[in-house]
Formats: sequence, structure tokens, C-alpha cells
Amino acid sequence: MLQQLINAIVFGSVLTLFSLGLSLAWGTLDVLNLAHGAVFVFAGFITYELTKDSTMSFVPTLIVASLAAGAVTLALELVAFRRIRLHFPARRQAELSMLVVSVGAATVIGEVVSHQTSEAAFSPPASAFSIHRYSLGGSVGITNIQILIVVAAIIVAVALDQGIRRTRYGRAIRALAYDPTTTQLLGVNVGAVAAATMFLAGALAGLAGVMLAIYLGGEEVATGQDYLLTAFAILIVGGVGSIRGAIVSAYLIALAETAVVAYGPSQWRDGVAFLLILVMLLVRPQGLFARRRFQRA
Amino acid sequence: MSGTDENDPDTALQVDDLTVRYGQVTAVAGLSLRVPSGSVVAVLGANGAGKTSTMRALAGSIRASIDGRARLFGGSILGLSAHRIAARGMVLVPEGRQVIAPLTVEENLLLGGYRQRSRARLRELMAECHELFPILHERADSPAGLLSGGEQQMLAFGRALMSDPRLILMDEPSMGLAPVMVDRVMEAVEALHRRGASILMVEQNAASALQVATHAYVLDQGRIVCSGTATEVGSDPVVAQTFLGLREQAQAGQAAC
Repeated sequence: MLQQLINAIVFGSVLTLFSLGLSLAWGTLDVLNLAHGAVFVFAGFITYELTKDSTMSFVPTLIVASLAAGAVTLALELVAFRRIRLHFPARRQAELSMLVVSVGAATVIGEVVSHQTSEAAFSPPASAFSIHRYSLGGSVGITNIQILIVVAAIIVAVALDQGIRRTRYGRAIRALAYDPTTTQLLGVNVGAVAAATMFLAGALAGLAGVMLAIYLGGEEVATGQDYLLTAFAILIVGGVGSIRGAIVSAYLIALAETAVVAYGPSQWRDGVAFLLILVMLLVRPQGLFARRRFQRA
Repeated sequence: MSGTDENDPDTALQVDDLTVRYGQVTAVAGLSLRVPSGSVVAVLGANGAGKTSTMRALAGSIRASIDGRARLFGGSILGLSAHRIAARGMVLVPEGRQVIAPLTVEENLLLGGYRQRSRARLRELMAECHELFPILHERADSPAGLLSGGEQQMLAFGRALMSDPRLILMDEPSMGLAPVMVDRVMEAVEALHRRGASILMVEQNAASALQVATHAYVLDQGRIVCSGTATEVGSDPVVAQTFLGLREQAQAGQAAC
């Protein structure tokens, strides 16, 4: 029971790191980035490439792979999303175009990784990170990578939540989400803020991807798609654009999925996310932590 | 580096031959105007005269093809991004106020001071804002979207003030407000003027605008049809008839334009 709870919290932490970036991009820039999962796996792939010959130790690998994931997402923003936004003044039209572009980008990134890894699951060597297990009595235990994942998720979640609420950059992001034109009139370089936001979103996916690769001992391209689906459930349950909502629902969904795997029919695991999406859309479509609605002028 | 002859210290904004086109439609056709330093210039005109297009074009916030020249304190601004123009000390208070509704009043003000890197300066400006518009202090923690129209206009002014501007553009500040609020808004315009900013305001409400303006232009179908001091323009019979609804003056007065 306790072991299941630990597993759920670790899983929830990975989901938090993964879905915060997706939520940030969607909630502030209207980018429903379906390449987020591919970027996440890409970071795992970079981890594998950097460590397979035992060439790089863990911390530099973590940093390089996260920055690489951020750079890929930034490139998408600069090459595609920004141009689409300038080309289609109507939000809905831009949203759809960005969604389609991100599907294409996900495919390209996935294919590149598949090609490089001969379509097999890729596993960073054990030397990449030496895993220690700490016994908590009986058969219950926790590993150092699990602790690292939870601590990283807490730090990122608190920093992002407070950063968005209290900093100058956070105010600019929230204003941009509501009205980019007026925000720019006030002297905010909205292009730069959008670029920084997309970089951050990608880097968070990267951070999650690296740690998951080490934790699970391997990833494959399909891993990204699984996480993307779960992340959608998280955003819908939490309320689009709500940082706190995403954090709370990431842990809720992790608990639900872990419980189904441990005590229920485990093949229903993937159904949990779908079921939650369905129930939320029927009962409370604005999500648990909906932002206050204001009519856009 | 612009030529020294264009660096006229008495001119805040010089616009020459401004043309704004949306596809085949010409919204502004060769508009020229000057905002002397320390003045309040009103551009009067009916709906569709090209007022908002002029303001948006000058502020760099428009999707249209723009021709002409605009010099802000001697430096050319036409074609620059809106945030770069804001950095040069000109701020637009947009039509319909456009407060950031989900952010609190205080957050809106801080956003207005986005380019102020000194915290001390930001605090000074905030104190000045609160003194000028006490309501912004009282409602500091309330979401801007919950303010009344008049309060939102005060917030839009306060937000502009936070950037410590040398020139403030105002796009129909009285729009959609009750007559008593219109008077308050015009008092606020005067207060911002006394503080030292030059002001360029477009208004449909000519009578109110002429009370605070030092100079005025009349815009019709994208062209300036009349200009002069506020008194001259206000006493012009055509203006009186078209914008002030004063028919008796129209019969008695003589043309100033």
C-alpha cells in the first residue's frame, strides 16, 4: 500500500513536470503543442546518446538534454508558431494551424529518434546514474532517482506558480494570454516573452524525459504519445491554463492510474485518462481550477 | 542619426503625409499634424473618420500598409514595433480602455511600468498614480475587469502614467461613459498634462475635448479639414454645426478654417 503510494507520487511528479510545459504553452499562447511528447522522448534520446559510451555524467547530461529539448521547442516557435500567429489574426484559425504543425513536428522528431535508435527502445546505461534503494521497512523502499524526481517536481511547480503570480515576466505572460496587442502597447516585447515561454515549456518536458529515461531504464517513441494523452486529461481536469490545477490533477491522475494497476484490472489503466476527460467535460468543462472568465473586449 | 534640423525641441510629434490602407480601403489619406511639446492636441472626427487608424498606426499596433513620416522628439517611429515605440516615451491609451481584465488593478499598473527597471522609480510612479487616481489605490487588489467603465478609464490612464511617458496618445477616452464620468476623464487628461506630458487625443465628443485642448484638428474621411488653436476650431461654424450641434453659431460665425 505504502509502496503504491510512493509509486503514485513519483509518477505524479513526472506527470507534473511534463504537463506544466504543455499547460503553459496552451494557456498563455494558445499553442496546443502535440510535439510536447516527442520533445520529451527526444530528451530521453539525447540522454541515451550522451551516456551510452559513459562519456558524460548525470548532471551535465540532465542540463544538456533539457536545454536541447527547450531549443527544439523554441525552434518550433520561431519557425512555425510565431509566423502562424502573425499570419492569422483570428485566434481560432491560428490555434488549428499550430495544432496541425505540431502534429507534423511530433512525427518528424519521432522519426528522427526511431531512425537513430533503429526503432527499438533505448536505455541509458546503468553507469549513467547509479541507483540506490533506501529501505523504508519491510518490502517498501524508495530510490534516489525517485527522490530526485519528486524534489525536482516540487521545486519546478512552486517556482513556476510563484513566478507566474509574482514576477514581472509572470505578469507579462498572463497579460499576453489575455490580450497580446495591448500587452505589446505597454512596452512588452511579446515575441520575446512567447519565445522564452516556449523554451521553458520544452525544457520542462526535457527535464521530465531525462529523469523518466533513467527511472524506467528506457524509453521508446511511443512513450511520448502515452504521456501526451495523460497530460490532456490533466489539463482538462485541472482547467486549461491553471498551473495549480495542473499540479493537483497530475497527482490525482497518478493516484487513480496507480490504483487501477495495483488493485483493479490493470489493462484499464489507459482508460482512466479517457474516463476522466469524459466525466470532466460532462460535469465541469472549465476544470477544477478554472480561471476567472472575462469577456475579451 | 537624424539631421539636426529635424530635432526641433518644441515638437513632441510631427506627422507628415500619413496614409493608412487596409487592402483597397484607405482609412487615412495623407494626414499631417504637429503636437507641440507641452500641448494637448485634439483630433476631432465622426465615426469612421480615421481616428483610430491614425492612433494605431502611430503606436505601431496595426495590420495595414502605412506610408508617410512620423517623428517622435525627432526620431522616426513609423514601422517600428509597438514595444519599441513605447520604449521611446510614447504610450497609447487605446480605444475601449483595454484593461487586462483578469489581472488586478495593481498588476495592470505594474504592467504599465514594465520598462521601469528601478524599483524605487516604480514605487514613485505608483504613489503618483494613487495620488492622481485614488480609486486605483482603493481597488488595488480587485480584478480590473470588475471596475466600472469610468474606473477602467482611470486605470488605463494610470497604466499609461506608469511608463513615465513624454507623449500620451488617447483614443476616444470618453467613449461609452456617462456624462458625469466624461467630465472626470477630461479632468484626468488635464492632470496628466499638468504633470508634464504632451497629449494627442482623438475624440468624437468635440465639446468636451475642446475644453481641455490647446490645439485641434478636424478629421473627415481620412483628411484634415480644419486646424488651429482649440478656440479657433471651436468657433468655426462648420465644426460647430457638425460636431457641436450649435446651429445658431453656424449662422452667426465666420469661417476660421
